Amino acid sequence: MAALVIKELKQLRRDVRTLAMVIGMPIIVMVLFGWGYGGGMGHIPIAVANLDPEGMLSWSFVNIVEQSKAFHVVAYVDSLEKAEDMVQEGQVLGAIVIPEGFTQSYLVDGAFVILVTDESMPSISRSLKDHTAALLTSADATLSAEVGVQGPRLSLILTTLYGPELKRIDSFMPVVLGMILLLLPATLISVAIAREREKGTFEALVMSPLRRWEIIVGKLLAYGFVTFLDLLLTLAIALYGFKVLMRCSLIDILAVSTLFLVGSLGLGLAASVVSRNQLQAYQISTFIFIPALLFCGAFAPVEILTPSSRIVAYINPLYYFVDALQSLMVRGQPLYMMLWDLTPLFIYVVVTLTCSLLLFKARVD
Amino acid sequence: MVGRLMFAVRTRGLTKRFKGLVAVDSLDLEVETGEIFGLLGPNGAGKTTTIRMICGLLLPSKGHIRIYDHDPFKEAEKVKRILGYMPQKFSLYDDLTVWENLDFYGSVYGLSKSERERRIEELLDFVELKGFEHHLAGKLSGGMKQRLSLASALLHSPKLLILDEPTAGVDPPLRRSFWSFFRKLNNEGVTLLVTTHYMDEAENCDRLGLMNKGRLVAVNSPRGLKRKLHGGDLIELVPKSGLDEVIHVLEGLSFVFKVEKVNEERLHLVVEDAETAIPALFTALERAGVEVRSLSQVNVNLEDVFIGLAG
Repeated sequence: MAALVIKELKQLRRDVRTLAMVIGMPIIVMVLFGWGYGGGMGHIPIAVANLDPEGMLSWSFVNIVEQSKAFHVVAYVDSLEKAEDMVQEGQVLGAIVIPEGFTQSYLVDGAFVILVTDESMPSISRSLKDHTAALLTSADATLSAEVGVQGPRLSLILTTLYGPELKRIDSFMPVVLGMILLLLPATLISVAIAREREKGTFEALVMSPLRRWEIIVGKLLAYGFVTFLDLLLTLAIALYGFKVLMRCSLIDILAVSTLFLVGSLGLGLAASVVSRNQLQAYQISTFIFIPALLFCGAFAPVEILTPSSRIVAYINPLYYFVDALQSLMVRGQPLYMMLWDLTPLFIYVVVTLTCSLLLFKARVD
Repeated sequence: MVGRLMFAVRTRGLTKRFKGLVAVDSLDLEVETGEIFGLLGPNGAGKTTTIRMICGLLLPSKGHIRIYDHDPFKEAEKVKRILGYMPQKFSLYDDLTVWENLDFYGSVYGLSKSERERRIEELLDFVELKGFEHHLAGKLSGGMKQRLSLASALLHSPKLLILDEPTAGVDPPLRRSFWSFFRKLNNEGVTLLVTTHYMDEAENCDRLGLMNKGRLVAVNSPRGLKRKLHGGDLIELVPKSGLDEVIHVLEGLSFVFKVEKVNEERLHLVVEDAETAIPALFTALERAGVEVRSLSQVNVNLEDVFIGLAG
């Protein structure tokens, strides 16, 4: 058996591409992970509205929020509506609103603070709630000491955009769909071409009068069709099986998903062009998948990653796809408002397809 | 020559280097239209590399290739329609049936449905695969796969058929039937370029190119190559009397180029043409009073030629 182990290791050592993947994968994934996630949770950008500007305690509270390591106050507004607008427009991820008569109420028997969150971004929303609750406990201690009363006298009221409380499946649906639409088409098509090379059928195929682009487009259409059926199947299970929230038309979802799907096929094609065999093609697709997932906003919102590492998210097509689908399904925004997401997805499709067309050689060298 | 091209394949200074290794070294190869040309050489001689360059599958490092006066890289479209290629490795789809494979390549070559049906029937008949239409290609035996490959290469009725080791790993009876396919095709006017490392089957070619270490060592008909080894036909003479006396007689004959002692009782003679030389020898030896035990032409095998010319 030792002989077998040695043989396997020897073979692995000679497959340079696989070896590079075996060594490179953990390094790159960990470096990216550490870079993006290593800088603490990062400050969540929020807006603050103090509707009790005359009150002494309201300013003390604002001060405590400003001191907090969890938040980064980027704007001050003067009404609940404005605070909600800022969250809705995505200028901030949340808002803390101190209501009118805050100081007065606190002194009498207890006051409340309003937290505005965006439920279409579940991970941010949860982390905002946790941080605000912790903040209130420490603020209570400070304020009660300041005026010499018995605490706790602070409570939290939640105002949710696109809420109330979404089911978890609603907010995670875009990520799950994105994972399927990235991994499945990319691996399927890259393995399909790499298999032709590995089995030698490629030699006969390129000797036929089929042109380069015909081979590529032919594969694209076949696997496009198959993965489109996958898309329909996934959506059918989500919508009819689990009654996932959908505040938009099915056509819009299909349009955005198809765009992303074609991009993934292009990615798979590009992967197959640089692979010699099926294993390598599969590895490259998986290799791209892990960072894409880390930096798409599913584990942690991109906004609270280390700022310099956000560039990884900004070149990550999955990030734009998830964002677009959240805007559609949860926020119910119309398609034309999504140019910010759709433009990069278009570029993704054009770049991957062009690259694979240019790199695809109808030769056997 | 008017209205007819002399060469189906013509290369000039064809060279391929792989990372410091010269696989094919300034090859000048000429395959005449209508012939069966065999490229003979040991494994690693550069035969497959040459074939792949001729087919336009591999870019040469240097040199020119013309297929019926077309460049396989710049005029790939035209060349692909003229040329049928059967690669060394089975290159059809294991998970498609015999019929599906042929039907796919038939439509790729632009044959209509009825043309395909007719042509596939015809080819299955030709390669004797009738009855296996609906078998998966992957489940066929090695020899059947080879025949399917041949049928596939013939779908578009190419003028030039290039076969890379078509009989490698095929048992001898089937190899013989393969050569009868080739001869039939050749009689219909197809030019064939075949690589092989089997010396015996190389005899079936009209002309042979001996390849060794990337170079073309010699080009000639099988008979021409054999004659080249000794400078003519080889004849073995076993006289009843002493050799020295016989040698003396033979040296006096103008049509005997060379006399050599094989051992104490056998002589090898090199003559221009064995057929005319043998009767003449009988006459001459009789006249000189030499009694002959046996006198016959030695069948030189290509293996000896190869070792003699390439070594």
